[in-house]
Amino acid sequence: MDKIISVRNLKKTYPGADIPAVDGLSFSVFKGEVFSLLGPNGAGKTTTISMLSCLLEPDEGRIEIAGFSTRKQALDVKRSIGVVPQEIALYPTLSARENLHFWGRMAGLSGSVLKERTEEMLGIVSLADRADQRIETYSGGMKRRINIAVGMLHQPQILFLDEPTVGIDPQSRRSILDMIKELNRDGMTVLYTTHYMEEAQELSDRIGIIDKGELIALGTLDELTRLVGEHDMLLIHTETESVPKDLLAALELVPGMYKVTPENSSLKLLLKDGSETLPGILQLFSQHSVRVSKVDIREPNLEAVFLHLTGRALRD
Amino acid sequence: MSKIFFLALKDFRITFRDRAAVLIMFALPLGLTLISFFAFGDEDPVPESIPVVFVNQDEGELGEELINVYQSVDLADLFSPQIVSTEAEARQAVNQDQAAAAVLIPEDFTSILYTHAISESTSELIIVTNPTRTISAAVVQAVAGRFIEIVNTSTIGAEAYFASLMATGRISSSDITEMGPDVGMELGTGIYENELVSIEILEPFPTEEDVFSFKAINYLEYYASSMAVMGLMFSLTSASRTILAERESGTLARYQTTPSTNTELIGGKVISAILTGCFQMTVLVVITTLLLDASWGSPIPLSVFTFFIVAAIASMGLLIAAFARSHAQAGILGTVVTLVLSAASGNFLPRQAFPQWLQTISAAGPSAWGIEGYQALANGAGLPDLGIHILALSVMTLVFFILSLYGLRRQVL
Repeated sequence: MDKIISVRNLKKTYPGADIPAVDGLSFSVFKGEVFSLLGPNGAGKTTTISMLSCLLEPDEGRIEIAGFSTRKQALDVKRSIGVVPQEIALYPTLSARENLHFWGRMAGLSGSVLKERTEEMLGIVSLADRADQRIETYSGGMKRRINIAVGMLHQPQILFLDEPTVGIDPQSRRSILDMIKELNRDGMTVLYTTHYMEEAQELSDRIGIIDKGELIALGTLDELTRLVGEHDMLLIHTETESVPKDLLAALELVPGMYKVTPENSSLKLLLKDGSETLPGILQLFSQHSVRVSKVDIREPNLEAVFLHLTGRALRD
Repeated sequence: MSKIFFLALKDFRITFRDRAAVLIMFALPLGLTLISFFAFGDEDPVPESIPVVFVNQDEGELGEELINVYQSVDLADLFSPQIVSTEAEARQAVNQDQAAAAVLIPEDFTSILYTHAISESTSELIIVTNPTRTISAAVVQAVAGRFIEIVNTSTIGAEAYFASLMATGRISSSDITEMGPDVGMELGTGIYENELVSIEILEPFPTEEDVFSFKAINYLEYYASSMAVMGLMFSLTSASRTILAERESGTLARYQTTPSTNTELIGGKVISAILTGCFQMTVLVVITTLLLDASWGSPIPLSVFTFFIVAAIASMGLLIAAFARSHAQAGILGTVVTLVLSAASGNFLPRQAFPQWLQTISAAGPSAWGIEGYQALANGAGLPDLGIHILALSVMTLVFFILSLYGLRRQVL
């Protein structure tokens, strides 16, 4: 497959910061794939997208997009990409149609092409009937949809989406995810950042897991879950406010236990043969007078991978 | 080029959809014009010490006495009298606003006391007033008037005294003839109605090249132009700082991911501010002309001058935005700069009333030049008369803009 994005040894430290926001990141994205950067808040996802979209100058490293260097051929790079920022970057007192017209102009569209693309995008995001209303009158989900529409208005080769579903209702999220799948089916390459593992799992051809500015794993969903090996993840909800330390210590000693991660009144356990070990584990809870309210046994997923690689839950 | 146009159009559209901005643009200057006019009306401020010049052509002692009154200890705090030798010098002092009034004492000012009874002739004390200092000139005039009143009363009293001496037979007509034949003749007729000395109040004679600066101030026009300049300061500093608002809302970053340049962005911002300012001035000129009968001068010089003042203020706004840390800070700075410059530049009281040092300092900002320029235009000046104003505004535009680019590149773009 052809590489359309190539990132090599990317480093960025913000002025005054002690630790780098991005530290030696290297990865490639192939033409026509959906590539997700998955990581908790502050992992360096937005900084990476900012450097890829020529907003930030890297301290070190090299980025090539569609064959152009971000350092030397920024305008060519910008002609190849569409960017959907995390925040709603629209003019609230302009209507959706006016916003699309303006951003289309800035992307280089004009005349009948601009008009056609504007109407088409309004249709895709299902807001044609409210196109002449000001953005300030829209709900959060509707604003998000127009925010995405602006990014893909000029039909870029590559679309960068930086956490586009943050803070919206499940229905709008569903609609946005379906839209991205549709775009990808039409051949658009998508670089997607998120801290929701379900979104990364659903959308991505390949996923890069990023933590503390470093890429800690990269591959398809299958390749990544294989990193966890035979491990299962048990999610145990208790009726206490916090799990006692002596119980945690006892759980660490259970044969096949790989990681024990408390989360308030719940526990995440990464262990071999979860179903078989479960009775013994529940007995330990009973011995420590901790009442269990619910138990989930999960197949290995990205959450388990992240836990496996970092010892922390993805939302920490 | 087309991107600059669309950037400008977008900002222009956003500005006029903001009700608060529209209020500041139109209601604020119009409201302040009316309030200031009614509050200060046709008055000019009285400075601590009123400069007044004298030309004493009187060969007798009365002229000297009049000057002594202005120099007296009692009036020392009120007047700064100065004696010049020619009428031309005196008029020039008034024309150049160095004096509130010039008092021209005629040659026959003293002798008329002795010749009035004979010849019925009168003398005329001429006071040339400064139209920009109506109150100060009125004070000068009042003191002179009181002096003349005393002189007239005393003279008439003396004449009446001689008349009563004659009526009671204590002196005869021939005695009076000896004391003063002409006085005797006058008193003999019993006719005495006219005052010996009267005051004529004159406004200066304008020279052709200075015609606009001599016209009496129309306060409605004064406040219409000064408040319009202040309105421009508010709206254009606000328009220029939208670049900071865009940085905070994320639209600047989004813009920078499009294949567009920072030059186009700044070009769009500047053109939008200039369009906004010119449109604002056009509306204010039309409204004040139609509703308040204000005069703004000929349309072409007015339009050209408006372009220069708008460009200077927009550049100043961009400069504030370039060095402010946030949109909110730029808003506060813009308001402070606008109010301070407006007050120092004569927005509320004519600048000529200020101390010289303050007049000099206020010339560093665009509003003083704007107010003076619009006043001159209203008084019939043309573009050649405003050469120095346009030059000053152009220099400001250039300097502010270059500094703005430096600041914007350093911390915004």
